[in-house]
Amino acid sequence: MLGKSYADRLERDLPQWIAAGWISRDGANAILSEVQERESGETGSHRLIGILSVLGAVLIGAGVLSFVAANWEAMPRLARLGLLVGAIWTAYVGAAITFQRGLDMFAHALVLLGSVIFGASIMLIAQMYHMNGNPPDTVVLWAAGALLAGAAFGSNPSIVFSLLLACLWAGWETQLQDAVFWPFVPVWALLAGLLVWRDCRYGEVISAFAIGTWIVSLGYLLPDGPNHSLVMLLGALIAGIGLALTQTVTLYERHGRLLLVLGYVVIFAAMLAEQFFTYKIPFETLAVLALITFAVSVAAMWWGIRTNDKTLTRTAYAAFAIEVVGIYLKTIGSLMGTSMFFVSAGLGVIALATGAFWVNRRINGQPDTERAAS
Amino acid sequence: MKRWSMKVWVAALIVAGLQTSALAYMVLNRANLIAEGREIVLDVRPVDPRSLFRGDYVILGYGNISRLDKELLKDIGKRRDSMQVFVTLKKGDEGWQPTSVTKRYPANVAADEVVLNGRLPNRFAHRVTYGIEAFFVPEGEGKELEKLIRAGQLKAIVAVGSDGTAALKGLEVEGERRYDQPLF
Repeated sequence: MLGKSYADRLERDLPQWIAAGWISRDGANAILSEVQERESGETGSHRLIGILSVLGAVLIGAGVLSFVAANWEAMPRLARLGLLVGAIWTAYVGAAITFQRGLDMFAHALVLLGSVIFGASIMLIAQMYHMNGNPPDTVVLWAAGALLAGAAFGSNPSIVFSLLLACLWAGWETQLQDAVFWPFVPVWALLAGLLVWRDCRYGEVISAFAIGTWIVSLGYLLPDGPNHSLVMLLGALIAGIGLALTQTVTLYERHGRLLLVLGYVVIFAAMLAEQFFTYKIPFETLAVLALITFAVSVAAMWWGIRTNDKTLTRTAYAAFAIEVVGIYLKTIGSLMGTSMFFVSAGLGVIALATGAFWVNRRINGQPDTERAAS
Repeated sequence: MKRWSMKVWVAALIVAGLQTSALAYMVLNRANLIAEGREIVLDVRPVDPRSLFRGDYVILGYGNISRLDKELLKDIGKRRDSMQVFVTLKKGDEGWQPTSVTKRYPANVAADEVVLNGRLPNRFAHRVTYGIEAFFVPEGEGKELEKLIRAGQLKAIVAVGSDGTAALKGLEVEGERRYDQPLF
C-alpha cells in the first residue's frame, strides 16, 4: 500500500533522470523492463503463495475456534484439549521443517496457525471450567503467545496477529471501563517497534492505524470531558515529525510518509468530532472549523500531489468528501445554512480544481513539451 | 538453503513448550481450586441467557450476592470501574448471604463465613461478578437448563479458594447433584 515496489519508484524517477540527461530513453526502458520482470516473476508469485497460505491458516484457525465453541460432547474434554495441544506442536514443528527447507511462505502460515490454535485452547479451558472472570485477560495471554511465536521464529504474520489481539484487548477494556486504557501504549510501542525494526510494511500500517484510533479515542474519553483540541495537537505533532522525516532522512522516507498520513487522519478525525459530535456548537464556530478542515485537506492534497504521495492525496480526497457530507447533514435544518454550505463548498471545489490544474501543469508540463520536441 | 538450521528447532521447542505450559498451568490451577477449595452451594436466579465466542452458555445470577445492597457498598469508599472487592458471605437459614464488602481480604473470617473475590464492572451499579456467572453447555442444550433456572430449582455448587477465587463446580437440581464438574 504505502511501500512502493522498486519498479514503481523507478517508473516515477526515470523520466526525471532522462530529462536530466543522465541516461538514455532506451537505457531507461531496459532498466524498467528488467526490474519489472524480476519483481513480477519470482517475488510476485512468492507473495501470492505467502498470502494464500496465510489465508488458509486463518480459515483453519477459524474452524478450530468453531470446533471449541461447538462444545462437542462425543469427544471427552481432555481429549479435545489434547488434540489442540497436539495441533500446536504439529504446527510449530511443521514450521521448523518448512523453514529449514527454505519454504518460508508455508512456514509463516504454520507459525500463525500455531498461534491461533493456542488461543482456541485457552478458550477451550475457559469453557471447560466455566471461567468467566475478566474476559480481556484471556486475550492478553493469547497475544503474549502469538508474540512469543512471532519473535522466536522471526515471523511477521504472527506478530501482526499479536498486535490485532492487543487492539481487541484494549478495545474490550476501554468498553468495560469507559475510560482511557493506558496499558495499551507500552504494549503497542513494543509491538510496533518490533514490526518497524523487522521492516514489516503492512505491520507498520496496521500499527499506525491502531495508535491513531487510540489517540482519537482520547478526545472522547479523557476524564475532563471531550478534549478534541488535544488530539488535533497530537495529530499535528505526528504529521510534523513525519514531514521532517521525509525531508531529511532518506532511509526513513517511508516511515515519514506513513506518520504524515497518520497525523493528518488524526487531525481530521478530531476536527470531525469537534464539528459534528459536540453538543450544540454555535454556527460561527462550525463555519470556522469547517473552513480550517477544508484548508487542511487541500493542503494535504497539494502536498500529496507534489511529493507523489498517492495515499496522502487519496486520504485527503476522502476527508474532503466526508467533511462535505457532514456539513450538509449538520446544516440541513436551516435553509440559510444549507445555502451557505452549497456556495462555500462550491467555491472550495472550484478553488481545488484550479489548484490541481495549476499543480498538474507544473509537474507534467515540462516532460510533455520535451517529448513533443524529440 | 540451510539457513539458521538449529535455530528454528529451538524456536519450535520453546514456543510449543511455553504455550503448552501456559495451558497446563491454567488447567492445573483450576483443577486444584475445584479439588481443594471450600464448597458452598448458592441459589441461582434467572438472568437473560446469551450466546458467545466460547459456545452456548447459560448466565447464572446469584440474587443478593450478585446485586449487592447499597448499604454494604458504603464501606469501600470511592468506587472505580472494574474494581476488585472481597465479599464476605455468612450462612443463614436462607442460604449464603453477603454481610460485608471490603477492598482487601478480611483478616478474620469466622467458620460459618466465606470470602469471595469479586469485581465491580461499573462503579455506579451494585452488580458484582465473581467469574462464576457463565455455565457452558453443549450446542443446543441451553434451553433445558434455562427452564430449570426459571422454575427456581437450580443451585450452583461453587469451590472457593483461600484467596477468594471462585470456580463453578457443578449444578444441583432439586437437591440432587447434577452436571458435576470433572477435574480434567
